[in-house]
Amino acid sequence: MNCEQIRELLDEFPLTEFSAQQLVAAEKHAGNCPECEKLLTTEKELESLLKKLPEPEASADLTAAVMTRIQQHDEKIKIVAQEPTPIQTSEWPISMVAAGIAITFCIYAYELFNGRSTTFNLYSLWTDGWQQWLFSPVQLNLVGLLIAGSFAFYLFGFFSMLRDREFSR
Amino acid sequence: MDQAPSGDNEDVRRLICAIRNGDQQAYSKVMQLYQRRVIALALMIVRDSGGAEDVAQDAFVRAYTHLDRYDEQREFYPWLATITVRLARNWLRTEARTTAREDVFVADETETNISLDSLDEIIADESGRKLWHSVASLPSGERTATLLYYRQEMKVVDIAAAMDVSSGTIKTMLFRARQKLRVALEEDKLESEN
Repeated sequence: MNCEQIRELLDEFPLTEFSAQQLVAAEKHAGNCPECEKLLTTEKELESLLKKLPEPEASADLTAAVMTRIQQHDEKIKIVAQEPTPIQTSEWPISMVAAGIAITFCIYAYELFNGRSTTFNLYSLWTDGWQQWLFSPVQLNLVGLLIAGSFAFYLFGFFSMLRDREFSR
Repeated sequence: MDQAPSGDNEDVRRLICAIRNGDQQAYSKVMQLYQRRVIALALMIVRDSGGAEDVAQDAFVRAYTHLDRYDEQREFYPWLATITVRLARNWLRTEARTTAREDVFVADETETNISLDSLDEIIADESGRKLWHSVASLPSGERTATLLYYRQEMKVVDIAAAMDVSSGTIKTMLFRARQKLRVALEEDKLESEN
């Protein structure tokens, strides 16, 4: 190892990350090179000092303050766990659509079992064109049911939220 | 006060397990192990003893309330250090808004105004204070990386994760810090010889 290689290594890694082989080679070179010896000595001294960098004492109140805050946090969690879970606002649109679809399918199933098939007539889409298909009573009925179902669920969700607010007071 | 070893031992894992099972008091034992390291880290970043205490308190509370996110397969301290670094950065940002303090982790070579008035109270040893001042006068990223790497023996990859930068950046920060500290050390030697 030569002076340049030692400098390059020290630019890349702290002395602590030198491999055993690299360290031996560097020290061997430093034995004949006062400049590199000085560099390695300073580096060792610096690393040893940094390892001993003092860490301040924590104040006596720290643990007490943290434990108090933790207890308050746990108490809050317990109270929240006992409350009825309100319907999350972000879940409403999905729930509404799901409810609309469910209600629609229930009514269609009822009609189907009573001999009136009102399922999508995809064949009429081909024969009559999309405008007639879309505005046919069957499709309008379907859209209307979806809207009615969604609205009903929205009202249900809204009143549930009001009820949950009452509980949390 | 007890000092936690560089790597987490089985005791720490057992304590974490106990906390997860509802033993709140086990957390005070975890705090005993890590509080000096956390305060040192916070102090090194914010350079304000009151601020460091606030950051340390918030870091311990945050670690407790988010313990479900801690992966037991990994060491505990790097995770705690990551929380501390982020809260300390937030503290600096809040302070910067009111007191026009330094920007976070920006290598500003000219920053020299260290607000560590009460350092004498928390670090008793004079040579220790001197060394602390030398490290604390480095730019924010360099001093944080130096403390985490040399004093708290964290791996470069963990420091990078805690400071939200690449491992290469940490190596560069450590290299620059070493260069500056080497000069400071040599100047100090010359001073004491004269």
